[in-house]
Amino acid sequence: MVETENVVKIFRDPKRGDIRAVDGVTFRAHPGKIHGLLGVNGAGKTTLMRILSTVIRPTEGTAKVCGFDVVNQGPEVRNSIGFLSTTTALYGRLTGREMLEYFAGLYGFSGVELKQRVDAAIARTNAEAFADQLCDKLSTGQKQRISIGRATIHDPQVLFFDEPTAGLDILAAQTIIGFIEQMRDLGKTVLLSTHIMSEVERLCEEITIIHHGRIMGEGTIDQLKSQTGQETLEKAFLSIVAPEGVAL
Amino acid sequence: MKLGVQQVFLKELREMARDKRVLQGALVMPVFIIALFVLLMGVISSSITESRPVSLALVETDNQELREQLSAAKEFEITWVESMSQAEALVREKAVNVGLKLPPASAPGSMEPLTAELALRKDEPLSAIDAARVRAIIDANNKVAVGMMLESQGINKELAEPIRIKETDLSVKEGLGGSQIVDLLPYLIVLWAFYGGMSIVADLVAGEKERGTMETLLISPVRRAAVALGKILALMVVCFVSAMTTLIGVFSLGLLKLEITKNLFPSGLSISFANVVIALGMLIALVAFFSALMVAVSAYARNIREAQTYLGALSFLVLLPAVFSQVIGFTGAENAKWVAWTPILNTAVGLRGVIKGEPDLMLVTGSVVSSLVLAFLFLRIAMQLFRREEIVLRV
Repeated sequence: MVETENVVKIFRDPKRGDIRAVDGVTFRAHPGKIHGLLGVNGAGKTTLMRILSTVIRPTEGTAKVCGFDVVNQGPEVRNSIGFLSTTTALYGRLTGREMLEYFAGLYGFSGVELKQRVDAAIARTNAEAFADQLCDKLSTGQKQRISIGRATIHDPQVLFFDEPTAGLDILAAQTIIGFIEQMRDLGKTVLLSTHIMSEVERLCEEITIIHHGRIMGEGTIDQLKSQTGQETLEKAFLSIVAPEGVAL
Repeated sequence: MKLGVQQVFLKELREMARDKRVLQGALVMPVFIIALFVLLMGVISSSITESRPVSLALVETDNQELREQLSAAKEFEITWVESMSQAEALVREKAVNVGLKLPPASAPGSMEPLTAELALRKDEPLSAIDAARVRAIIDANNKVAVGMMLESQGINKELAEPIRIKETDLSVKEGLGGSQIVDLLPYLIVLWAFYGGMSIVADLVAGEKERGTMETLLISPVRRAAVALGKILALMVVCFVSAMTTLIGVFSLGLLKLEITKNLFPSGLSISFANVVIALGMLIALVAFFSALMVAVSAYARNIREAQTYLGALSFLVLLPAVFSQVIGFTGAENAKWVAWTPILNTAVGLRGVIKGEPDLMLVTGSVVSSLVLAFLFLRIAMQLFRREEIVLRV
């Protein structure tokens, strides 16, 4: 379970003044479901993900992951989550296996249990053929598999995916999408941040539309369509975030 | 936290061991540079101490006997010229090192002093050395002449030199203390303790931010203070190894007993165990200070390039006291209290004493305490920077 209550994040910029990157966001994501955070670039999705993963602190409001407060129970939150995005990179001078061993160690595993976790992650992501190669030598798709193994080495209950397929080719993207579905089927709470409509339509049971840091709409795909009177999710989204149309 | 520190430390060491920049910057370069220095000093030392004739342009003299004597003397390589202006021209062109015009033979019984003309270039070391040798020869001849004159008057010729100097050399001659390289060694050790780590530190934190691995790390349960400490400890190893490589390089060259470096190690390479322990203690404190400082700078920087710019400027702050330690002996400030409490300078000066077998308690204490205080201070700053989200995530 992920729940936020009136979360605000203000970045203080000496030139531009205060920037409200997230402005009073309240939503819930439930186990066994994929919750989509839909918004254009700069809408505040990544900032919200970073707050939920304790990388940054909210300026106001509260957020809980698996019942743990993101401000006061950071280590417990981080033990409960897995995070994957195209910007969460690998260490180029470690092999895939060493990368997994490193993170398994950081999650507190050691000895036989650590080895079992790493072997299981390699098997789960079909990475046996390249697990002992340096990450710098891996293809984008192979790197993504190692990243998936890293994000799930501790069997987290909640998974955050921040634009996970951005910049990937169709095969690599399919690997990620398949993995997201797999996690949902295992009963995990999945939060997916994206601006790709086809992914949302395929994966998300619940959607929160964010624009300029604020929630502009929420519900299922059908609910959003009916609320806006549009035939497609794309049109529904555009009617919410750009009601006066998109300037050419 | 302990677990996180160990994991980060070991992972960083593993990555560094696979990084060519670390191997080249922290291991190969110190050995290369020290070998170059030692060989260069060996060449200079040999050229100064080995017998080399005085390169001399001598104006023709009417004293045929003196001419034959000088021509036969092996300590002179004489170019005969017609006039002093010709001799000066040759000195100016660096064709010879000194020009000399001897006075004409004096009339028997003459009491008038005679003047010899000497031309040299004080901006040329070999010219200055040869001029000093010519002066010494003329002084010796003067003494003989005065002695003969006194003797002819029935006076003890020893009075030609009313005060004699009995010189006793008390400098340490045992082991490394007798080596000419000992003054340079602490300077190189201090420099490589910094530059060895500088080759990788930009990548260590700023590089993680730039590549996106920092965020991956921060999402794990490891505490940020543990990340900072793990990285500082790993960098300490690199800085320490780099500094020790300098020392090992010198010892290796000494053990090779090359002809060219024989003057640099006249008394072997021995150093007492106690002094080794003291030197290591000083070095560990220094690398702790350097590592914490460099990690803090790298944490503050947005990216590798910015970190390298900051570190480049910072390296001058390290360079200045290290260079000053080389000339402090001429200032008379070596034993001043402020030296003992000036970071880096105290380590360089203190290490020289330790290597020479004369450790100064105040310098050693000052070096260890000031380095550890600064190490702790910059560790705190690095930890604070790792906690600040605008610092950790900005690229």
